[in-house]
Amino acid sequence: MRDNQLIKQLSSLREIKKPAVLWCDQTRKEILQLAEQKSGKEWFWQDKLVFYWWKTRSVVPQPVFVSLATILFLLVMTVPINQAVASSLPGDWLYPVKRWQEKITLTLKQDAASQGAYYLHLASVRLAELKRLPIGDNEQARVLRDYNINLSFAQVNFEASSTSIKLANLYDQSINNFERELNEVVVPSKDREVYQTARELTQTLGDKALAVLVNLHVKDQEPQNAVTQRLSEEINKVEQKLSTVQSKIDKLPISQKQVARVVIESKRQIIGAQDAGEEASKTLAEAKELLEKKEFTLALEKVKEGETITLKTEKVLNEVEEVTGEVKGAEDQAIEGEGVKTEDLETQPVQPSELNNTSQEILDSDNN
Amino acid sequence: MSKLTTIKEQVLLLKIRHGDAAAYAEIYDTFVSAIFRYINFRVANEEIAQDLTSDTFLKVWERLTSDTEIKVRNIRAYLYQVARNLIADHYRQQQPLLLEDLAEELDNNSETTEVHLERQATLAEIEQALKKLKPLYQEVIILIYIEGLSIKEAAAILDKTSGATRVLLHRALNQLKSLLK
Repeated sequence: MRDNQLIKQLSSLREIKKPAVLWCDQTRKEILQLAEQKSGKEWFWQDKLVFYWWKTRSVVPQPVFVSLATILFLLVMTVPINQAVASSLPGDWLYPVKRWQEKITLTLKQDAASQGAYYLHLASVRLAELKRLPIGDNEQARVLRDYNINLSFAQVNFEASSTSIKLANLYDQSINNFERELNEVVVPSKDREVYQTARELTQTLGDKALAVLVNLHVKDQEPQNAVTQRLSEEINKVEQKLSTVQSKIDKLPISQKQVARVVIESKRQIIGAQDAGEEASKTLAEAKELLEKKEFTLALEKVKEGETITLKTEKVLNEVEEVTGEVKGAEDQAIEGEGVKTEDLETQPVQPSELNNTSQEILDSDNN
Repeated sequence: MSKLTTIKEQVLLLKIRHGDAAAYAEIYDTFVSAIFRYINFRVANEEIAQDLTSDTFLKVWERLTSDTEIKVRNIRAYLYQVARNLIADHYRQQQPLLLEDLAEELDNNSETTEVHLERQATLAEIEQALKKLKPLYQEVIILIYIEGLSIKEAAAILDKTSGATRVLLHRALNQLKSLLK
């Protein structure tokens, strides 16, 4: 007898050896009766987890299950990697990956508005990095330069895109945050120039965004509570700055008060620091009145005028302070050796023409 | 055994461990015939086979619901292992019984065609020869050729490696052939 034949016959034995159906049913009943008398162990969450794991595997077809499990695994794995990439700083081995990710994401932005918004986001990322870098780190200047480039591109895109209240709001709020964060940053004196540029660019873009925002509210007759509140905040901001300047003026000796002279371009006159402070205060009061009358554009103009006078007065006071070296209450001194606190840098004058030049230079250098 | 069957078994096993009698009924319906047949080939007495089969299912239920440490990956293999132990216990307790004449069983068969009777007669010879084999040879032939288990599954039940089971199967088949000459 051949092996195959024998094996075939052996397997056919299976067909003739079957238990009786009646016995099967009877035994089934008996076993189930006994089984029901005995309870199994309780379901704990681990058991349920394992149960649903197997249950899912039994319901979902194998290829789909493998795909889902792979996707889940990749998602779980990419979260920590992405976190590590996102939190990397210049000099870290993952930092180039972060920059490549940014470049790739940027290429996916189609229109000027979304590109501008992304450049704003990148500027905020650079600022966050700047805050986390140790003071005096060589990378600070590089990050600041990148911040300036991002902000310049954001401005170009803002000007190129069709303006909307939403977009103007985004720019205005972002720039407000940037100004606040820049004030918290401490840079060494060697990076003072690039830091100054960053402040100037931020202020220029902030002014533009706020002007567009006010203009759009007036044009579209949108609910005006928001713009009233925003302008009030702006007035408060300038008033706070002015009060710091006023306290500096009060501490000046009378002889130096006469030396400190401020050029008021809008009025085509040169006045003393004390008068300039009063002029700024008066201008802000006018801004408030205009705001009450819902003259938003004029109110904004007055706020900016008051801000310019305040900054110029502060600059003059600092110059006097540098010459005499005797001004008291100079709270904003350089810290940690060469470090310079940002408030000190705020006193640098902001010339719109210079700002435009700087911005253009950055754009040109980037294009090259 | 397909992957999906294994997965479904795992779901059933989890339910059984938590006292789900309906899930156990499903296991019973699926494997009762195979377990009965396996025992029946080994003990040669249908009544004893019936008793041992129900004992097997009761014991498995008892163990699955009581013993939390026990790890069962393949319920079919586990049923065969329990049945195998019960058969061993049975032979330890009793004198080996004389094998029943398969002709008696054939008499009860309703099929009457000449060809079929001839085939049954040959099968009876094979079964007789099978009973004369060593218990381990019997088991490997029953599990693999009659029940259609894979070498790997049979090896797990017999507590041997796949290679050893393959050698055992080869020897068992040769011995069976020599008995049938």
